[in-house]
Amino acid sequence: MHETGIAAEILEIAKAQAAAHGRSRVSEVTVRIGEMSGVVAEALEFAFEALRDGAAAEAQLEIKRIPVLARCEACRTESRPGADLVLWCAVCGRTLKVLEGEELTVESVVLEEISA
Amino acid sequence: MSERVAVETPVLRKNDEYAAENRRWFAARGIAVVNIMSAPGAGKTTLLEKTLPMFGAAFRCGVIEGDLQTDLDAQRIRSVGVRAHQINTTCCHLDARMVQGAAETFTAALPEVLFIENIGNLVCPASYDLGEHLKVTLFSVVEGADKPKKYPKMFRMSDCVVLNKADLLPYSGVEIDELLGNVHDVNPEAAVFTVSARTGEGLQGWVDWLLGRIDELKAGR
Repeated sequence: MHETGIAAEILEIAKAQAAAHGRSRVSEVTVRIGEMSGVVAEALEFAFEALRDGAAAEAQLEIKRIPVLARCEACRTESRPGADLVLWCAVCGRTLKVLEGEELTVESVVLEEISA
Repeated sequence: MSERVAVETPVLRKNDEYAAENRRWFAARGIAVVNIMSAPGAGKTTLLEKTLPMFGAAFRCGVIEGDLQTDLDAQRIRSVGVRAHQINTTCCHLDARMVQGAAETFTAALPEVLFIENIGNLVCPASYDLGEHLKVTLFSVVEGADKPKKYPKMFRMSDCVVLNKADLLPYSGVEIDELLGNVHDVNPEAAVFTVSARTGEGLQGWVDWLLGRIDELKAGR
């Protein structure tokens, strides 16, 4: 539901990169979306396509889905909690630290042409 | 010629900057801020109506109400003698900038504790830092025992999970132990209270916890 706002922020960041590098066009935007980020990839793709404009009018959105990776800070056991989302350690019962899977990050952009 | 440029920028960076500004603004004025989030109809306003009088004279309170339409919630808060500012937005969540505008409307005698009742939504509000000190997820038991696993982010980020409508448990088909287990799975460290805001059952434990945490915040711990 908030994917429209998220898509608008992604496009702002991408267009600002084009401007900062003196390029006229963004052809691709790569984002990392954690499985626990609360963002629905399909909704984001739809919103991105509907909103893209200006230097990013033809930009393609590349989404990298990041599964949850967690680690027990006590016994250092790393695990992928998967769909069960048990975020305490099966070995010692402590709370797991989530290392990956909460990302909502613009990773890179592909820029085209030099502005005249 | 095309060129790939590394960016590595959080998508919500702008909101995070506003949230950081809010945090400084609240700190400079000694205001403790509590963000209450839930699905629509879980009982956020009822919880506040019951909680605020239990604060007694401990702290001067204020409430920011977020809703798509109407100021009904702000009226309900004012009817228990607490100042309220209503935000109406077609957005599915409150963001830090909206809260900044609303907080600045409390001019004379600033509140010592500011509650933010977020838009009713179990998903989107979890992504937006408002500059608050405590996040609370309110969840009514009738929503089903599986929801903490289906909508983990909000539960995971919260300092406290309040399970409301406990008086409806016998009619809900929900096993409270299964629900408590699922809350614990996604957030083993949250303080969890089972209450009925309507009947008052269990509210004292929640209020004691809240007052204790606010005392710690005021003492800078």
